[in-house]
Amino acid sequence: MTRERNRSIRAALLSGVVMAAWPTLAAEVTPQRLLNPEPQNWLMNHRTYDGQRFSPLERINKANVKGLKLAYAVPIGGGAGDEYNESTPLVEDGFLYVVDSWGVLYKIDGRSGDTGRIVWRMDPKQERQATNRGATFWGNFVISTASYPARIIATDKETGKVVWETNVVNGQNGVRMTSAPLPIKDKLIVGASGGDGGVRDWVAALDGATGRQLWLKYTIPAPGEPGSETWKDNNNAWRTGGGAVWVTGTYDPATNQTFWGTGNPVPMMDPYARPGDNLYTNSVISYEPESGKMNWFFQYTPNDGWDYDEVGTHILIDQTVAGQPRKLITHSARNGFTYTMEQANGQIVVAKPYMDGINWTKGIDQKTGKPLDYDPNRDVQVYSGVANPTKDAPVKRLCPNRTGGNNFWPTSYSQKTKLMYIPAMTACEDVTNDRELAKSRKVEGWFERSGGGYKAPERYESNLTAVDPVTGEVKKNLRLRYPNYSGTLVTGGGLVFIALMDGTVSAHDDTTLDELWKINVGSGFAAPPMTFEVNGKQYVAIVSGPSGAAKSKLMNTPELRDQRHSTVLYVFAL
Amino acid sequence: MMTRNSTRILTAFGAALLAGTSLATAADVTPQRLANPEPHNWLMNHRTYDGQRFSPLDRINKGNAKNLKLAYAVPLGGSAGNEFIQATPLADDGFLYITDSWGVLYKIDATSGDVGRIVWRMDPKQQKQQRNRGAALWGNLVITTADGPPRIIATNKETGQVVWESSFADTPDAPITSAPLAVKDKIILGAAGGDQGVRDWMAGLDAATGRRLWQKFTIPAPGEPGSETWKGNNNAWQTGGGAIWVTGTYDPETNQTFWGTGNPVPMYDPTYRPGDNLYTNSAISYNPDTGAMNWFFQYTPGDMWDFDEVATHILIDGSVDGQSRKLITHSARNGFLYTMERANGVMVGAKPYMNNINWTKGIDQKTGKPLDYDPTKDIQTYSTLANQNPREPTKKVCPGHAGGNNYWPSSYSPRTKLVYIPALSNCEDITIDTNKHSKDMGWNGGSFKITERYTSDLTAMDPVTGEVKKSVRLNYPNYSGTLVTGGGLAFIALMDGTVAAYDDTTLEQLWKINVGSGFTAPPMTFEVGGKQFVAVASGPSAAGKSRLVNTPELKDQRHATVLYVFGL
Repeated sequence: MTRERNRSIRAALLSGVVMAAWPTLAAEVTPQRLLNPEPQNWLMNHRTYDGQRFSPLERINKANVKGLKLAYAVPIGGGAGDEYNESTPLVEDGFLYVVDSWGVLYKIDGRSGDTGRIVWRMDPKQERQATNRGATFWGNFVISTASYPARIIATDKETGKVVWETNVVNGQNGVRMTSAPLPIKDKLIVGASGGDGGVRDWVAALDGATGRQLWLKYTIPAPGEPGSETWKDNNNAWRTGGGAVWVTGTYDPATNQTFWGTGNPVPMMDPYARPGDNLYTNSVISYEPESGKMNWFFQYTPNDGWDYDEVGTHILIDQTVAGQPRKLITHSARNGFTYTMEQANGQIVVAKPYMDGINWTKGIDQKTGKPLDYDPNRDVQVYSGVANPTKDAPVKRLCPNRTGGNNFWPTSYSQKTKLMYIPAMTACEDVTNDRELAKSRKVEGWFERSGGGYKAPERYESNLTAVDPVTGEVKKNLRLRYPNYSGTLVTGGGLVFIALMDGTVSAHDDTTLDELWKINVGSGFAAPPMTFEVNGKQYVAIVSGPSGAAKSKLMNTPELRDQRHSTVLYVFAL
Repeated sequence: MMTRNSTRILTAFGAALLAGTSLATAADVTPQRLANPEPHNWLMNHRTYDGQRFSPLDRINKGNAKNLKLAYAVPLGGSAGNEFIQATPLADDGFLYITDSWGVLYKIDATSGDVGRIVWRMDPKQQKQQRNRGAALWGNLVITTADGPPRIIATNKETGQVVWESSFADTPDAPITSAPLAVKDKIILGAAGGDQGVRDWMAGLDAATGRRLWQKFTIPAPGEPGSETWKGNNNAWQTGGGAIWVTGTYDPETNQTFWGTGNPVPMYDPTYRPGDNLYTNSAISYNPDTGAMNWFFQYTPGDMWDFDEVATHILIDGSVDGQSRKLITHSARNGFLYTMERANGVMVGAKPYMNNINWTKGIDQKTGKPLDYDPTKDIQTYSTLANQNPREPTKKVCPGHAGGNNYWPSSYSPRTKLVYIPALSNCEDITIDTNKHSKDMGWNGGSFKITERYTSDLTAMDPVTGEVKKSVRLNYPNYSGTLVTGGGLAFIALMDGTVAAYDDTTLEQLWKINVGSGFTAPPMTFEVGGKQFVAVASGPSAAGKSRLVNTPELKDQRHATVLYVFGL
């Protein structure tokens, strides 16, 4: 039966009548379903191609959310210490699919509403744990990533058997596959990470039916390619230049563009090691999904020395600007600003800070989107002159800190309020590009990073900030005592859900940001919340278990000094 | 800054010691408090010296239990794979104390009612995980066990600093897994690890200093009383087991402390150790001051099915033939509930709490011995249906080797005057192997095979009449135990992740939730800020997990060590 179905998909694809002849089995995740997902389901990493992480579900709403409680829990992993989870669960008709830090894919039966039974697990046999942000559906497959070595794996949704597995190492052993793939028509678009380990990262497309790699485009140009002039060093820094792609992109079917954010240049803390703007790091890139051709790009922080990678989602919104309907793309950047652009070409509409205290630049040019103090004639940028470590002043205070601002933990956008809900860290850090200093001062709280290091003089906290992406106006801001490494979810019920490093999961009014409900499960979170409905009942689901990076953000939080963590899928309901 | 704080606290502590006090604060757990614990607290492993695991709290009751929900959760451990919890949390005025499989002791601030913050952890630096069933409170100390080598550790309740550590490195293969019992100025404890070929023991320590005051082996040496029940030429007594791995009970009035002992070793091979093998599978009454044995009763002499009887011996006041009597009752691993006179172990009655027991035809109501027990036999045959012998190497035994009831505690409600017994319900095939009695081959004397799905019963039984009042079959093993409350509720937790509350009379399920992970730790309840909570830590031991081999729907189940706290 299953084999038959696979064959029929493959036959349909091979016959070239992809859209017309797509197999119509109810449970298959067709391109049509991905374009218009059923309200009760969450069929891809950000739920919809526009990356809004907005669910129209409203059974849980402002009026009744105070009655929310744990419906059931499902432990994930458990075979090793220090496991963690960054995966957004997928849901299709009451079955949940989640991935753990071993790349193990779980199918969980959530239909009963009071128990989550694991139906099967697909174990790719990673030797080590690696960050894994989730799976996607394609046809009757669940597509997941694995590392050690870097792979994309298609698993039969019903049986849990591997249908195909594609090694995507492509000659670089340091490559990790950490973001959930994005299915577009007959293809799977995937991004490579591991940039901070000195990898030249890329975006690639695989054939959904067979896993065959169709195209691969590096985010760092080779000498002679467009953009290579922005790597001016004599060290071949482009070969290890980073530009990691570690959060799933978005897709606009109308213009057939897929948008992906890219990571920082490497070595991260030392721009002197790689003079030039270092394209296409810290950028948003619009690709044509069929060929991998770049339509346009925009770089946020040229010649970055602060790890300001911009992999966080690029959310697609339709909105009216000055009376005109516009197709926009918006991004709460790690560097502290919200950028809204034209979807068609990346032309800046507005770029405003979503947080206070930004010190690395004086501000953003509202026409070009470049920092006001960006100087295209400089090989190494100075920007405001306040935050850039130099030979004479090797230690500088940086705001926002290396990890943002916002980061991979997703911002969401509500079609009800037309606001985006940004989870952002608040603390500044001291940074240095002096490698020896970072090493020798370790006892004083310095931590090494490539090209230098950082020190955390402040307690890390976070903001939940509601921003109008068209005007850039901050409508409301709520300061929270603990870092939000999880993200935000916004719903038709008028609720914003977040989860914090102290184990709190909470629901907030989407207009006032008032906290309407909370629970504390002890373990920190580094995975985003999501919501689904089955048998007429709405649930909110999230996996606990913070990564090492997330846990390190508690170093100045003495009351959580002895906190322990666990990897458990918690599912809440009325 | 942390270091500076610690220094200050240590200085204060040192000063107090010099002043000859024991940091006497309101929160000290005195012998008086242990004898009459406040209703809102849970100050020792079984809550009270009588081992009833009954809490008088009744804010959560039959009328509102359906509204129970998760109040908060506190992950424990997390630094290694396959961690597990068997500890009953202690609660003292809103602070919880629990241990994990690394022997790490946690103090958790539960006073807010909506979050459990870990105040401190005391890490005894075990190299390997070990069973750990919890802590005891004494004065301003939290007394815990640790392994590698076996140790008892006293930790300052306020600071989390170790005050004393008492080593049992002289018996390195006998881990201490049960929570210690604080009796007056002493800490009473027992050693386990019997199944690895160990001669186990009981001991009394000076609570203030950890000094060892007395130590008594549960297996007599040649010449000692009971040694005549080890008849072979193998010196089997040296490796004879008799492990102590569940905390005992204590009767202040008669100054007796009661401890159950484990099976003889090798467990499935009685031919290696002919005789009754005293004092294995027994209840022993000790004088806590000296370790002198007052009396003993052996349940299954010459055992060949791993029927150790470590589980609680619950002290109850009952009425027999119109006379009020001080009794001791025990839901045995071998399938029977035995009720005796507390003063001397004289049998009041012994009745099966489960169906299909096949190893014996029944229990003599006068002697408490199996009807088919033959004192003249070196190796018992009992009913002959299940007896291990080389001529018929594989036999089906009911209950299976794990019971029946086991270390997962029964509870007793003074409200209903019933014992609530959590029991496995299935049989097993056991095969004798007369070579398995060495370090290389292991000390099991055979092996067991699982032929059935493990399920469990929750059974309410009158301990005086032995009448089964009510029993409900559950689809999953209960490796956790029962808790019974003044609210008329019996709480249980199952290997499929279910925590549930039952009506203490009808055994109707009034509430349940499923947290996915199996349980091998018992539920408890406490009150703080005028609100009652029910707490249980998830994370099953390997033995607990192995009971799911014939449960296909849980084939891919994962587990987590998390303290779950429920409230209204």
